[in-house]
Amino acid sequence: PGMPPRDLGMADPAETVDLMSSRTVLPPAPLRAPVPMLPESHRRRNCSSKVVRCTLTNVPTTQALLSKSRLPFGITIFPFGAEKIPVVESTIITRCRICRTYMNPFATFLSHGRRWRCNMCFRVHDLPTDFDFDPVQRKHIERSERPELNYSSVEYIAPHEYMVRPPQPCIYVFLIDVSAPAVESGMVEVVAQSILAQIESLTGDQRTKVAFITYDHQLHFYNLQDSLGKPQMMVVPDIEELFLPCPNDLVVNLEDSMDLVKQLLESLPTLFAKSQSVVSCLGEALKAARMLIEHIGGRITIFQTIQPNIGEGKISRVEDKSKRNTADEYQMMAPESDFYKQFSVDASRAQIGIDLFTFPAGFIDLATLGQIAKFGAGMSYHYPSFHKRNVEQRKKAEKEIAHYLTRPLGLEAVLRVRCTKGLVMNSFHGHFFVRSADLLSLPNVSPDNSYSFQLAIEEDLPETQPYCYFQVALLYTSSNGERRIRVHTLALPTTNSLADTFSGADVQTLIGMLGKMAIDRALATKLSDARDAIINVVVDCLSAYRKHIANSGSSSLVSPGSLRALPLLALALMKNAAFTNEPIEMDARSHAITLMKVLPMWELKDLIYPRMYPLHNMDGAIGIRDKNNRLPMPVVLQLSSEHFERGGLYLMHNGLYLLLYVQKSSSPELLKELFGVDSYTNLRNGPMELPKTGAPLSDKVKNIVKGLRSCHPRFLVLIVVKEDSNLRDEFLKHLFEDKMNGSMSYHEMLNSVQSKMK
Amino acid sequence: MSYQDFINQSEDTDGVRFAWNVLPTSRVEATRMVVPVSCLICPLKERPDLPPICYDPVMCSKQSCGAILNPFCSIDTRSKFWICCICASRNQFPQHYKEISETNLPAELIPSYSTIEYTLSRAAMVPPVFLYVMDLCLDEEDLQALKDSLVLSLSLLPPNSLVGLITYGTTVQLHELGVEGISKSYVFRGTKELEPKTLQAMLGIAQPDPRRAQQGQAQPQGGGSRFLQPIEKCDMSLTDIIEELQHDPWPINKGCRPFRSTGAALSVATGLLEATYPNTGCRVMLFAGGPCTQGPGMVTTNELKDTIRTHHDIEKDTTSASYMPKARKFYDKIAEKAAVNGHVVDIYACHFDQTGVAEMSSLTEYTGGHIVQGDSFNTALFKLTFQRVFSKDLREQYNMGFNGNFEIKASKELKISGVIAPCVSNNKVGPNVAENNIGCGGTQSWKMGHIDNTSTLAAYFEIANHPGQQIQQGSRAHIQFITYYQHSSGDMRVRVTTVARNWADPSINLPSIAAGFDQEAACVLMARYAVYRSMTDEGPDVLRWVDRMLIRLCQKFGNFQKENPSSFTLPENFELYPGFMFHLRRSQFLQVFNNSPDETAYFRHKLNREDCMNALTMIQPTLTSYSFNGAPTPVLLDTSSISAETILLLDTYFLILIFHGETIASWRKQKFQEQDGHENFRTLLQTPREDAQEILQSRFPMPRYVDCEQGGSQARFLLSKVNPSQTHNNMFGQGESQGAPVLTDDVSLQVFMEHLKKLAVAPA
Ligand SMILES: [Zn+2]
Ligand SMILES: [Zn+2]
Repeated sequence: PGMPPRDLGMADPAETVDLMSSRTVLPPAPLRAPVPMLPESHRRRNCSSKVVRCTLTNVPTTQALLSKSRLPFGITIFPFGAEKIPVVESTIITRCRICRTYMNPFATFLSHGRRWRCNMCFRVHDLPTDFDFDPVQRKHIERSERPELNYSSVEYIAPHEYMVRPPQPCIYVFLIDVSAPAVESGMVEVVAQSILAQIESLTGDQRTKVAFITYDHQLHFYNLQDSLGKPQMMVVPDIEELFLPCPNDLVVNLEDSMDLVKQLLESLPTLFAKSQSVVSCLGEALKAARMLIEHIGGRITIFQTIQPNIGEGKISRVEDKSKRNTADEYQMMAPESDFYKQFSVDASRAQIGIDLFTFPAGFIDLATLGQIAKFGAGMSYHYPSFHKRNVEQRKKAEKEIAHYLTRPLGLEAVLRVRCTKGLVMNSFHGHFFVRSADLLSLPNVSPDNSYSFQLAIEEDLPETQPYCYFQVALLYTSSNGERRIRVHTLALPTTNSLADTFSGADVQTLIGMLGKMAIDRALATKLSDARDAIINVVVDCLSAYRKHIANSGSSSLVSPGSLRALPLLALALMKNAAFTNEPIEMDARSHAITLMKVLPMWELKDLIYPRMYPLHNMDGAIGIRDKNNRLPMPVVLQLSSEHFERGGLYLMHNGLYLLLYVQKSSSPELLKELFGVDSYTNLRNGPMELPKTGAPLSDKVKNIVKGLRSCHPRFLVLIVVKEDSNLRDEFLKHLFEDKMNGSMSYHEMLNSVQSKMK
Repeated sequence: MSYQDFINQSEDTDGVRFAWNVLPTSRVEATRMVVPVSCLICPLKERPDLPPICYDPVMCSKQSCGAILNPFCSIDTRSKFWICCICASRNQFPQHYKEISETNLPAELIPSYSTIEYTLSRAAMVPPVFLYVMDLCLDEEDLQALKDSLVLSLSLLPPNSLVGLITYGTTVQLHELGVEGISKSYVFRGTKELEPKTLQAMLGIAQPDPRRAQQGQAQPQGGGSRFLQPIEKCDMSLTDIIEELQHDPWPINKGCRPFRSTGAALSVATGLLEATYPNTGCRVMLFAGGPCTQGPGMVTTNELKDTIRTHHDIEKDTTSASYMPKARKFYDKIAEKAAVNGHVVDIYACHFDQTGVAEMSSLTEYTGGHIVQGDSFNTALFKLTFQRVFSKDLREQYNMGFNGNFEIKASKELKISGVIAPCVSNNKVGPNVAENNIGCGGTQSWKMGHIDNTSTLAAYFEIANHPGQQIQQGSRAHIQFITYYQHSSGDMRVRVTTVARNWADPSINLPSIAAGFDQEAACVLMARYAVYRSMTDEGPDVLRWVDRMLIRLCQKFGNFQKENPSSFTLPENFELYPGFMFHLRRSQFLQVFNNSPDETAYFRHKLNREDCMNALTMIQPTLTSYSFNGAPTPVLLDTSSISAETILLLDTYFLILIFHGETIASWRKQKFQEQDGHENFRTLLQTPREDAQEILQSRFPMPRYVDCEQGGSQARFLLSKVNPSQTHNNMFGQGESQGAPVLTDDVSLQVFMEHLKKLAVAPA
């Protein structure tokens, strides 16, 4: 203990590893995505693993082979991330006439370049006559310069035939719960101020429109017509037969009405300061919002504190705590009513996307409420026990709202994934509405959401083709009113070999896919079935490997190098809030399920297997930005207390927040340097910002915290956990390899897997 | 003192005019006198000479009586007791009256104070509440004019008043006052009737507490203060709100009226007041620029091709009239509620077409509110009339009493059949309640949401003299009118008027009863009765009833030889009565087909609340002639009064018309009045105009004013009113020497009289 584990980052994925004898299965740096075995020309132009990732980087050519491996097969995509993508200036969009695949770097040219072969369906087509002509520059263009032939991710400016109507402007409807608890907790104030702070930088252009609806037992609309001297608030107390209080001016051009919008946001907190309502008619507010924008579409953002308890969207159940961690728990994980699903599906048809921010004091029922973001193609943000006096929590909300309001936005989007003939998608995961067989409707496309697809091999992949391909096409309207098509193409080698199939497995993507599949299982039956299913996949894969590849003894527990972390990550997955057998709040469970389904791999991996950095023994360069602006990080420890050192200081990043674990035995110098306190006793526990003490350690840790936060769309609150405090378990429960409160240790996990293997 | 002097004095001091000033002692004989025992009473008759009385009245202790001590009570100053003149109970004077003596009497015992007013000392001050209900479906000009009038009115309101605002169009908006940084309103669907309970729940206003509702209170209940605030606190913000009001934003389809939710708006208004100020003086002022076209109280559809009902539609029950029963039922319901709560609803309807006043008329009928009708809010007629709502009396007090409770106590031989006036029953059964109703009966007490110094009720009585119960000769009947009301200053006041009338046995002393006949009062009382009958059971047959009653009266009191019409004469104080009835028959009150239902409702509303002389003017307009031959003289309302060289001033109460004879008109056209040496002509033109101005200045609502000349089209207004003594039917017989013929098929007064005489003298 105490020594950094052996670097296994470059370990051979094809090597057979005896799991029982290797305590260290993860590298000391965060696990990276495997690089598909492709020739250089392909590899150079291939799609980034950040955008498209497959559970198998060597794709078996037959379903039989795939089945034999027992490996889950699927891709997860993150199509609208922030990376800069080359734009195809040419007005010609070359597509396969049969399968509609877009021209991509992996298409092949025939007949001296006059024809091309589609790499999905293998048909050959004539190229457009002016394929090599640039109509803008009015000159010949070299194919080597065409972006779509050089980059796997490109963006086209869509011509008119890709529009059913002129591109819509950004239209935002903000729905703010103004019940007494919402006001008292400071939610209304924080939300109003956060929107106010970003109102001039809201994503969009000069056509951007906004509307506000607040609600408690009644609905409040705001006429913000620019000629008015002050905003007009219109209360509609009759929510039984909903109607709009005026036919126009409730959705206004932001630029024209900026002053009134600001006035409104400034007045909102005081306007409801005396609210006594403990009632919320969110359902009616949603219907009203839809009435406002159903003719054009847009985005509805909900800020909710209390459980909607009247009207159509009423949720009446309370959390039955006795059901936590029982066979009946799945009942609570299922929505109480279909209202939110049905609403968002209908809204989706009107090109309305919906995002949900919740700030509940107790149970709000995310299982029911969250449906709105799920089918509304949005995201769910959850701030349990929110209070503005909790400074760090407030900061988190403010930063996340700010990010949300200013991040790129794609409107009225549709997403389609095409793959090489023979491959079919059979299950979809994420936040969207499936409009037709393989067309996902995304009224809003968020740069923070990912989408996953399980795959099957319906038809053997042709022997003649050493590669298979996945192409993601996202047609959307940009926030400045351009209709664009973003296309990503991933090439993967195919294989006839089971060994290659195993060695090409991408353990992180596989675990992510497993998580999504297990959620479906949990919602359909019960949680313990989901946990069993996770173990069974591990058992099946490793059994298949032992049987067909390793040829080792029936008592051995071996894995390919590629999958050495599989049992560990599967154990971590089972201990995730989505699946844990610890009794946890239902909303926390529901939120974890949401994140499991929707987060991109690079965020999800930390959520499943947090990073733990020791901070007490960082050598010189660590924690200081080098001349290339890179920040060398400390080693990552596997999540076991056996790596702990006496007096050590550990930072944990679990994808949601940062935990800084301080032991009682920490040296006073360290405490002084890092926290500016002279003793452990004087150290505060809980969320906080580290002080600037001027000591090198302080600078380093602050750099590391800042570095971790900077590449994360959520704000990572730093929580100091003292060894002897009530937060201790909050930290220790992440030590997945250890046994805690009756949960399985890693060792027990391995035994369990082994015992199940036949 | 002549009877006429007595009548005048009684009207001046007590505001009372009886049809019969001597009462018959027999029930049967009373019915044979045709005109019921009845009176007009103006409870708050302006009496600037009354002393301020700041103590509570002394009341008869008999439970069923409760009459108030008055000069007709006999008193014993030594034993300190008094005998109630109504029930004859003996009452001890209260402790603080112990100093009483023949020379030291409290005001209420001094004979000249048969009418007296107390200001109740212990009652809480209650500010009046004004709630504006404003139509937003007006054209720009009208909307601006109305906004200006409303803003101006804020400075005219009693300074202690509370004020609120509701606007409506497609929806109904209740404006919250005093919100910082934002203007806030509650918006209701215009198509939905809101029960007060629902409304109160929606507004977060507590249900009224019935215990607190017993007395008016200064504080609104549960949160209503958001909508009704003291004018001194909110006049700035309310002015802002009114000035920012815009036309109803919902689109109006081609060929359509706007969606106008008058009914829903009124239900919000009355529901709000019911919750916040029950049994307290509140005034809802409705400003409507057109008919209600949707929701409760809908008068017509929003499609222009559907015309608003006429009297013909109502009679034939056409589609146009099909909305009327439901609308009436709706308005009746909210009117009843408002009235019971002591609230008043005014209707200011300005539109070139009808607005549904006919349907809404119960609102004013039950509460005593005003009806003002005009073509547009942007007219002097509306603007000046509206300002006059806030006019003050001779003591600089607002002529506006709120939440009135009017009670009649009477000697046991008198039973009250009912009253005809803008009020509702308090359902207070007492010893004086008659079995048969005339008007609003079955009670001795009525609620009057609005009462002012001209509000006049018609009260009808029965003689309840059972056979064998002889009324003592020489004894007198006593009637006491008690009016509790909230003064605009916030005081609670009680006006008490006590009158006495002699009894006479008609079987032996009919002439003395006849001598006490007040034909003017009788005319108005019968007119109200006739209109009441026409609106209830009688319908169009009311004309026959009027005729029959007149004939019977003539038979009873005329002098004639049987079957000799030319022998027929009437006593002097009956002489004008047939003429009154002639004009009543022809009046807009009974002949409705020349007017719209809205106008009819308005005319009847005025008849039912104005005093005797005003009502008489409405029935038989006055005509004054101006000529070079001496002072202006009243002339017969007859075609014979029309002459080329005179100017006529016609006052129908609703219309003031100056009619220039042909010659005068031609002189005027030649502008002689502007030339030297024609000062007399100038004065002749000027005098009727000045007289007209005087009437226009004082009357509420301001009458229409027409300046016309013989042969002009506007002259028809005069010709429709005058007695057609010369029609095209008889002009050849009369020659062309005097007067002007009127094209009409109406019978003339002369023909009418001849018929009457014939029928009167015919054997029964
Ligand atoms: Zn193809
Ligand atoms: Zn008495």
